[in-house]
Amino acid sequence: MEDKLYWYWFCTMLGMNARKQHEILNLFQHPKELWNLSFSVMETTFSKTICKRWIESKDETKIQKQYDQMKKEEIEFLLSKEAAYPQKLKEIYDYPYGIFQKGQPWQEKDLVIAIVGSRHPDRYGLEIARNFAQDLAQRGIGVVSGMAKGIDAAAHWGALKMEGSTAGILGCGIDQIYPRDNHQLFYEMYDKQSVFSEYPMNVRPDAWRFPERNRLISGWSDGIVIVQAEKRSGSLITADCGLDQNKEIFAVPGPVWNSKHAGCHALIRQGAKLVESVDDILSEFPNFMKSSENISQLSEKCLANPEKKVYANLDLYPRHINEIMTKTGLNFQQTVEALFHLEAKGYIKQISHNTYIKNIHKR
Amino acid sequence: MLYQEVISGIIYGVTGQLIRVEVEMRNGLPYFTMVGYLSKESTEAKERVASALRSVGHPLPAMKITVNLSPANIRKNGTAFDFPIAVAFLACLGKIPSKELNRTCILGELGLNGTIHGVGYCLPIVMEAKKQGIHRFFIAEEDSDSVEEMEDVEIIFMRRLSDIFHYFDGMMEKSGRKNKKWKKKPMEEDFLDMKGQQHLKRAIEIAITGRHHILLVGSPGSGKTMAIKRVPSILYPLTKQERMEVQSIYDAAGIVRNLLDDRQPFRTPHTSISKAAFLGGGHLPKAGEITLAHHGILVLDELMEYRPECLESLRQPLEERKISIYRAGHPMIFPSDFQMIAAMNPCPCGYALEDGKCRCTYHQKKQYLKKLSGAILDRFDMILTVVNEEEPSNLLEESSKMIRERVIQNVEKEHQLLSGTDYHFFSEIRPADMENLCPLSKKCIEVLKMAYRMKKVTKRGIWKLKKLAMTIALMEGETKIQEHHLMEALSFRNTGFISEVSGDGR
Repeated sequence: MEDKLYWYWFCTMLGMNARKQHEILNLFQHPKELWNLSFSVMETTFSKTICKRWIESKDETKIQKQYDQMKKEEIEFLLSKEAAYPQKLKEIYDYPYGIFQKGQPWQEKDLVIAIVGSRHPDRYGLEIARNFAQDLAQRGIGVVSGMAKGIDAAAHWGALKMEGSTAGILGCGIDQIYPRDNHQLFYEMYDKQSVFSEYPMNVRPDAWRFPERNRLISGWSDGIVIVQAEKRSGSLITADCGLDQNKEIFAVPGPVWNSKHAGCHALIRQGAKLVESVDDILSEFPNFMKSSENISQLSEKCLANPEKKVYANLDLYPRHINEIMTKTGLNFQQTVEALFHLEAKGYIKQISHNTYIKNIHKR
Repeated sequence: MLYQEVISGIIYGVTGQLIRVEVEMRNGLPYFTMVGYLSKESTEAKERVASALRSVGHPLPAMKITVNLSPANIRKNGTAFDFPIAVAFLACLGKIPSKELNRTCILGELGLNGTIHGVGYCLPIVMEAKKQGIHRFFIAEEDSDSVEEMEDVEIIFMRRLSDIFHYFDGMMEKSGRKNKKWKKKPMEEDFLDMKGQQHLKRAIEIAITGRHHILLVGSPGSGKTMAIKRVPSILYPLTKQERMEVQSIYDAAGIVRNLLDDRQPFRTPHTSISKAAFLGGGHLPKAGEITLAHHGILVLDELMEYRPECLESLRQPLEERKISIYRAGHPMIFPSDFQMIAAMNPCPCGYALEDGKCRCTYHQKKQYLKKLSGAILDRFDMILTVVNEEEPSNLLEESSKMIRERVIQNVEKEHQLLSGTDYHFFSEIRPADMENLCPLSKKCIEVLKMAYRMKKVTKRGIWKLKKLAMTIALMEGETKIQEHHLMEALSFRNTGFISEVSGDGR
């Protein structure tokens, strides 16, 4: 049997987590030794369940069949000793020996930032996540996230848009599309970027796998940006993992009245760095090139009066035309006209009909 | 052999159908039979006629009697035949001159003591008979409410069967009844109670003025239903012609309505309504909700809860302003020139338009919006998203009365503007007449181009946008479309809300 197949067997078919795998490979040099062990030794050294799996899985044709099936689905199995394996991952103590990859090969970047956050964010969080990802990608920084709904997806979309380098790390089998809502993102990622998972095909998205996955997101990156997290949020697990792994933690603040940002605020209180722009992130990595770009808000000076008034009343929280009208005190026609012109000039963005936010992507 | 024929009528669909009542008497064993595809209540006329004739002193003779209602292939419903049968008997017996009955239509139900009761559906029959050249009608006095405004016909109201003798003797007393007055009830709902939602209120006013179909998409509690409930308080009144048409439809459907009631019909069918009740039809064809909303407003609140077949069937009436259905091999055409006002939630939970509030999955949303075909969406001139307002404006609210006066004025102006054409409202204008009726200035074309570049409007949508802008211009007291009218019209046309809601366009 091929060398890689032994690793495949070892990593996926014995049902051990990464920590256990590391323990075992402290005893043996290569999974082949475990394969060749006699049953009596096996019985004395390992638990009953592992023994049972060991016996059941030692079927060369079955392993070969599974491996071929995987290849057919264009999934790669990367070993930690191979060059294509994301190098940054190897720095964590319980890195997986093998990882599955679908899509394009991962392009190594000097700096990789993870952007994570709520699965049910509001517009503000989405815009920030997407904007940060775009900015980072534009500067040649890798963006990793978890392919979940909300902030994760926004981060991937942002990086995709700038054709930067982004990787999604799944908490389920590599061939699974979860959540279904993101199917479009998945296909784009397969097409242009890479998707990774520790788990082989057909593994269901069980809740307990996600915290395990989070350690990979944090481990892969140099810094973790938490964009929007509620008080009890999975993103905070990622932040905790990051702290264990000695990574930089960044948090984007939100309005204090909005409980959807409570998790971020708690992180800031504990010492996470408050970020307003990508520069705040980059200043923690002095080796990396700096630039002076900021989230630029267009200068309001060149705007005519009703437009100025309308622009001043907009931010990243969506405002309906009614609200804008009330806040500015303009009449209906003036508001509509000002909004039309502002949108035509690109100052503001209509996110859904008659609902507007400031356009922060404009430079 | 004695024979007499008189004319009566039934309701067929929403119009009247004249029926010939033939009576034949000949010698033989006493025997009374009625033929002609009769319903139970029509066959029972036999007993009522016999008693009523006895009460006026002319009992049925002991002869062989046959009554036939023709055409014999149409099912006869209703009780309007009692009176004509009795009259035909009296003519047979020579008690009244039979020549006089030639071009007379008789409608009424008889009591056993000879009183004549109303049947409640005379107007459509009278209108149909008038078309066919019949000018004299004998009708129960109880039915006088619905037909008293008919012109160019002689309608004689009778209270008792004996009145017929008085009529031919020239001794008929003029009935001293005064025309029934209709008192307008004050509207309970008023726009005064609706705080904020300026955009929505403006949209409703525009929709009513230009008779544009409007769809409101919004979060629960954002005021959609509240606004719709207040629509009747700002509607312009029906003209006399329209009133007669509406009254005729309601009479045919057996729904009580006062002839003098000049309010537009305002129909709010329940979401569980069946296709037959919605479009009209059934074994005995009857007008459906869309026909009852003729010259008025059809409200479809919670649009997504209606059966898909009901929604899809709206295509033809919306396009042609009438609906043709086949029932038992007979084509029927029901008028259905209505304005549609619909409301719905954007997703199953209802909060898709509120920031970060919706937890529906992509598939739930898709499933929910599946019913809303492009064809139906395309019929709406205005599609409006409504969201909850956090702090309503403290602007002074207008009362319905003020809005109504403005609407009436503007509708009048609209009719004047379109007087040379066969249109009444801007929403009816077809693309072919667009160039003539709403020319655009250069600046406006520039705005349209810009909107097109910003992907705010499709080529197809421009036509609707122009119609809408015309209405807005009219309300502003201008006859030509200005740029800001177009911009405002843009804010009332949201055709992309489905992809917005489901998050397709990231």
